[in-house]
Amino acid sequence: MTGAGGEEARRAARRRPAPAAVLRASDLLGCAVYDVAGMRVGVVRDLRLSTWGARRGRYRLVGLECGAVGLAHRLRGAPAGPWPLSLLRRGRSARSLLVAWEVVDRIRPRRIDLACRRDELQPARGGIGG
Amino acid sequence: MDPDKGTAPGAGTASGEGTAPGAGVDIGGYVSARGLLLDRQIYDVDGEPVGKVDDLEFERRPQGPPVLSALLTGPTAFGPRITGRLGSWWTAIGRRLRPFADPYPNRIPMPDLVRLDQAMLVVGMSRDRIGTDRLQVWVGEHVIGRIPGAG
Repeated sequence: MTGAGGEEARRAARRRPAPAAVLRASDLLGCAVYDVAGMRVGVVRDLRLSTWGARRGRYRLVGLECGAVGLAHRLRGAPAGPWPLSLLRRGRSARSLLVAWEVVDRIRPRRIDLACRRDELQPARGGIGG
Repeated sequence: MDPDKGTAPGAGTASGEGTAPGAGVDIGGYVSARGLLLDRQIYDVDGEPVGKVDDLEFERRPQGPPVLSALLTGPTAFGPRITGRLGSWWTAIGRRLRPFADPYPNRIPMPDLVRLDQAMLVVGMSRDRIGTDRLQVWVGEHVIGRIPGAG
């Protein structure tokens, strides 16, 4: 994007959005997630982003990763360690589920309600587009 | 549509071009917020450390998923990530130390980032313009500077 229009778009993007329009990662991470039937899905451990638009560095939130053990998620990008740790990491993060943003129905403090059933969710490995 | 969410269920699609910034970050063509952004060190244009990414700010859109609008740094950004009483204390201390009445954390808008990948996160301005070292400057002027023999 170049020229005056591009500069205007960048200036608009720099402005702080209205408080009602802001969602912070901390509003989502650590929240308990429940499906439409009230069954617990897990806790939000990570956010999944995708790039979009013509400019580089533009991301949008497309999904929430829900799982049981946060440590496994935190270590996923770490280099291979002792085998018990790798086993734990693989085992626990493999059981994580991916919640697409489209099925998030309501966000409340420390709780997220979904508009679908738990068994309709995909595993986090692969998941959206994977 | 639920006003708490700000996006109608089913609105928009999870389509995106995908990116692969590095190992451990790319998940099936998408990126992990923890892998690519959260807790990463931010450097200014001169290579000086500015702070860490303590939180992310998304802007809700009437249609489609929220868009990442800024990186947030500082204690008032990190506090809410620590749940419970410790998090509240952390945020309160950060708020007390801020020179402004507005407790909103230091904000680095996404268009100001000149490099964002697994190796480095660089903002295209100097540290003093971002304002993340205000506490350090204040302590230097009001505490360290008053010690006899300092500076």
